[in-house]
Amino acid sequence: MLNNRYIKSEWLLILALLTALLVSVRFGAVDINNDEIFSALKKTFAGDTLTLNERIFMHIRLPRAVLCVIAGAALAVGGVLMQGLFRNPIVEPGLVGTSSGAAFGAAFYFVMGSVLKLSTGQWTLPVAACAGGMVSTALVYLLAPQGNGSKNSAVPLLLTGIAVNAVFLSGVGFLSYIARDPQARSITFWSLGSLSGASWDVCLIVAISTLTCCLAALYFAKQLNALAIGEDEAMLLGVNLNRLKVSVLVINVVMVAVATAFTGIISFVGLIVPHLLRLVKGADNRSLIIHAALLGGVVLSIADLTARMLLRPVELPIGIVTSIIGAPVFIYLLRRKSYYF
Amino acid sequence: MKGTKLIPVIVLMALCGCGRFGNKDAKQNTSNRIVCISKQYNEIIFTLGAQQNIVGVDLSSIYPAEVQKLPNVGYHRGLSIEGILSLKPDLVIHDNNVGPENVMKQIADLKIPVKNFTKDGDSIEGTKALIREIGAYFHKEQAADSLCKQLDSQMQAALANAKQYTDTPRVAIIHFGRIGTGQYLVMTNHGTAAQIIKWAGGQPAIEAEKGMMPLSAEVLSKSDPDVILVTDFGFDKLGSAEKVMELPGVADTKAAKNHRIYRVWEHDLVYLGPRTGEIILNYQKLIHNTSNAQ
Amino acid sequence: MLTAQHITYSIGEKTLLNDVSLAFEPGQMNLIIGANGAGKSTLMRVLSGLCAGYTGEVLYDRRNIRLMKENELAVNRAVLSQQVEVAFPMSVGDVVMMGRYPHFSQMPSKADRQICHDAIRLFELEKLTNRNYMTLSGGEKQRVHFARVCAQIWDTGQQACRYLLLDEPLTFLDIHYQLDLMEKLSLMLRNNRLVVLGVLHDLNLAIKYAHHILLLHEGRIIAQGTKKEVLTAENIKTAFRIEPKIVTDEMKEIIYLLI
Repeated sequence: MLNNRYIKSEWLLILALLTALLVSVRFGAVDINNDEIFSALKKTFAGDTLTLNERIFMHIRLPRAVLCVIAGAALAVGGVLMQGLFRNPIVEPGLVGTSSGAAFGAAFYFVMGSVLKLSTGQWTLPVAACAGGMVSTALVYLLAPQGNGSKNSAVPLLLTGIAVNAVFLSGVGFLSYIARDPQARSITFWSLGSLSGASWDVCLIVAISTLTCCLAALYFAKQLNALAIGEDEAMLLGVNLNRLKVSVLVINVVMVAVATAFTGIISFVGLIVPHLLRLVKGADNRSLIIHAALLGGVVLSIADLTARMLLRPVELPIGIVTSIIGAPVFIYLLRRKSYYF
Repeated sequence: MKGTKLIPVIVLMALCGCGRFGNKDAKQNTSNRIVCISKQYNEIIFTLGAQQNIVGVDLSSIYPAEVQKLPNVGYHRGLSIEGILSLKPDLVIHDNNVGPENVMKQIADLKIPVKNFTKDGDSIEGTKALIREIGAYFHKEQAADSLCKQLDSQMQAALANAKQYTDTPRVAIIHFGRIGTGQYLVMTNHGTAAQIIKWAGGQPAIEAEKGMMPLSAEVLSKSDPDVILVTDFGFDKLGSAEKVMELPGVADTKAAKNHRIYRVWEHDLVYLGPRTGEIILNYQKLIHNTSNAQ
Repeated sequence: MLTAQHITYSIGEKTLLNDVSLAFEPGQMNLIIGANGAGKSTLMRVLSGLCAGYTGEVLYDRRNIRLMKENELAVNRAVLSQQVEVAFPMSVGDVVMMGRYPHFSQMPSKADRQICHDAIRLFELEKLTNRNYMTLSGGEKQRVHFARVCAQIWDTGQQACRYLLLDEPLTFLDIHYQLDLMEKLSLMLRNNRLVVLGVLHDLNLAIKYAHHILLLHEGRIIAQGTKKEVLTAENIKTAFRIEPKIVTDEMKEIIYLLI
């Protein structure tokens, strides 16, 4: 369907995204009907006071739906970038330290926050998680041996990433171990991911980081394409490899760390969306980035809707939903006969 | 004939009247729909008979049984704001043991009142103060008062009863949480469970820095308890005392060899409440070697 | 013209290239031959600008390539590597278009698209333009890369001198395409502003098409010049450890080696 030559696939995905947005905004644990939605919007722009349901819509439901779209885009585009950089379709955006570092940052805040008298404002946790993600990735980059001009110089980066991940994750384990019970629970739930912290402030921050990073990613799309035929070939086509690697890593870590700081760790979206798109649309990174930004938003919106509605009023952590759906989808994709390996 | 039949009816009406009597008072709080996220508060509220406006509770609130009939907003550290709001509360009560962090703030931002009780229910005195505070809030001062007196007398009876036992059995408590790391935990010499064991005349077998630690063969064999208590959720997951013996390190303990592995209710152990005195008496019978009773 | 002066390249204890100096003129077929491990591919990497750890100078028309940025090199110089591993499935057209990447920043121009089209036609790949590269045979893939590198340095009349380096380009091709390709290269060389330099294993093909041969042995040049000068019985024996029968024509030009 995405390859129909009469309807441009971007439009199809935009339509899907708008539909997903409408559905996630319409349904939730609290019953808000269409009239209330319209009047909420009208009153907000008119500056009138809103009823409770209208406030729930404007301050809880709507920002959450918007955050789903933006965070989904961030994760999916991050996946495109990382898969392009490592020339490997089985790479998640958080692989090079970002996810584990963010988890460590969050765990550190939960457990040591009171000891170190860290501020308990609403931004301390996201800042800690974001910083953790960035420090971890920087560490991976600095520790990884430089490729010696061979065709696989991204592999040392990947392997160093695995090692650094292990260190940070055991750090999280250690912090969980010394934590008091409530703190340990906080770590667990944060690691499973949740969009419930969404507010308009959060949406603004994540939107700014995601938009700038996506635009920057588009700039490097052509160079990433060249990388697909090999590092040497890319260099011979005029690509400065080191600059490309650093740029892509920086764009990815900023985009993913900022999103993860507010949503916790959500797996599979950054893995499956680019993968799927590549099977359907081909490997041109420019096209992939645009499609992934849209499809990522759709996927995360659907996942969040499921998380919120399946057992309402209880809410499942979204990481569980994406894993339960993502893993079988991934296995299915691997087994397709027309798969290229 | 009419007279004798009338008496039970009058008594019944009086009793009902007592219940409604509390309602007819102008309430200090005028909330009609309350979501209460705390197992300790909920037990006290229900025991005081003040539960008519409670419309939602959390997953861990399971005592008394009526509590479980109410809608559930999820695990207290993984709350969903819309989930709470879907019950249309005009007041949310919690005990500061809730998460994620943003939920209560978001509820407060929506101008829905959020309340904590100030008294700390970690000791018997604290629990009594808490009972009185809750009683005052729901205008059940009389019930609160009598509950405190009952708690006092039950505690005294329990402690007096303890004197008849000469032994101090070492007791280990194994716990499996409803939502947790997937590991069995042991409750240590800190916390409410340890206090209850001590009142029951026992000795918590595991000493540690924190209130709970992961179960391992080492931990158990070092402590070699005389009695092992397993909380309900975990015991039911395993199925039987024999299965409990398959957990790491259990089979070698004195408790296992003497078949002194028992199932207990989690909600009896993790917080102090109206029934604590009664609970202690039961535990005394459980953990002491009855041949030591005089 | 492509010149190299006193190139020495060592990795650790091993010296891969030892004081190599050469000059390749445009308009003629320059070929490098030698046994396995002689240093041919290493020399190609140095001459193409992929390697940096060598001593000595490589000059493209008197410009030292060490001072040139990747993109500057890429607009005039194309390299066909021995083996190209494509990581993701993409269409043939997309692969060929990559040859034009050094020439546009974000989107290809009409001229770029025309050049790709012409390159695809030149190598008879029109029917395969939209095919998934992964589904092609080894020979077809090779031709796709040929089209790509030719598109990279397509003559637009604006360049000074262009450089085409080919590292064992005939590996997967059948005899028809081997000859076809060498003919195409010869045609391209009619344009005086193109330096072609290739590594070939097939000595007879080298004889047929080369104007200038460079014989490498253990990192050193043991002979360079015309066929007659280089392909002496002694040189061949030293380099390849074989003793073929050299077949010459009336003019004493070598036309064939019988092995």
